[in-house]
Amino acid sequence: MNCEMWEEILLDVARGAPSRNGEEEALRHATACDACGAILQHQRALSERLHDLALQSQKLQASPHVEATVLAGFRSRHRARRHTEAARWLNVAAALALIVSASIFLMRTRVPGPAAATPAAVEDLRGFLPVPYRGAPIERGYIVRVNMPRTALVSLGMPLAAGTPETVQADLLLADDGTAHAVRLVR
Amino acid sequence: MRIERDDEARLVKRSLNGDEVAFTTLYRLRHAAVYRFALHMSGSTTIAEDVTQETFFTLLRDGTSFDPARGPLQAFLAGIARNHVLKALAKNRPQESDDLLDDYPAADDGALHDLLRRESLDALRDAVLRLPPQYREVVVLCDLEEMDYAAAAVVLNVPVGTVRSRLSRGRRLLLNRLTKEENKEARTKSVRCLS
Repeated sequence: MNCEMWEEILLDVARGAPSRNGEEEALRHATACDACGAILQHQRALSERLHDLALQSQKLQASPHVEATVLAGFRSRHRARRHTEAARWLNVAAALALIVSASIFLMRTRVPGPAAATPAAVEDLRGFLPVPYRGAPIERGYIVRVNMPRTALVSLGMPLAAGTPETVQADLLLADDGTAHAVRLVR
Repeated sequence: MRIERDDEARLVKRSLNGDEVAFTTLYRLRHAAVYRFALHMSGSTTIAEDVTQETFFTLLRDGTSFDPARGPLQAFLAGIARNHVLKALAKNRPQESDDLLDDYPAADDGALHDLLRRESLDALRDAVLRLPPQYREVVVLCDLEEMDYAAAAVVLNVPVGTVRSRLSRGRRLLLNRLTKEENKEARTKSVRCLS
């Protein structure tokens, strides 16, 4: 091993770094070699001065206004984040409301205009089956033609023939407030 | 105050979720090391404060990339601070070291001893500041912040062997500068004595 290779180990010795392989050999070499002995001595002196400077610097810290600025940044960042999240939820709610409104609108416009159930049209109500959960009897209402799942019609008590398709066209009798009162199959 | 790496990771996570108490705790635990690193690198309290501020803002933005398995939070923060310092140094050349002196607290022993010690530390601080950045940062991290080689390697994103060799080279340069300065000073003093 030449002097240059011992130097790194001597540096660790001078810095008081955890001992490593070859430390004792390096120290023996430094005792025998004047140049390496001088390096070790200088490096030890430098370590002491650097340690002194490190100790002097221990109490240094940024002024309180830096902490205030950093915390203000933290608050505004998280306030903005909370607003963004709230806005996201509002957007989702608005989108859902739009979908529901559009569905209702489409359901109402699918049949040629919701016909008001005038006394003259009462005759047309034959064949309607009252739904089990209907509210108070109505005097006026309108009919909407929809495609209903077969299972929904069965659950309302509508007798269906075997081989009825999965969806069936039906007329719904709705009150002015939109609640269903009766249903019938479209012949 | 010492805290475990897992606790640090928990504090970072809570901070990122908006917990102000956690963030304030982190700041108070770690900001001084960030500030000292920036101050020793730049020699300017203004740059050091800006870097401290920017480092914690970056932590809020990119804190999810902190991995306690790679190294302690101090190394993660020093890595961020280093980028900000190098940017600031590139912008603010030459370094202003005039505002540094007043920041060092005086020692408690006698006035003359204080003065001599302070002179010696000032000379050392100036010599550190005049090192090329790649040697300065390793001297600051390993010798002034007493970081181990592995953590310094994380900060600098280089292998441990490179940290070792840069530290060796940096300290040799430092010794040369200090010896040269001291010889110059000794010559000036002897000329004064003869006149």
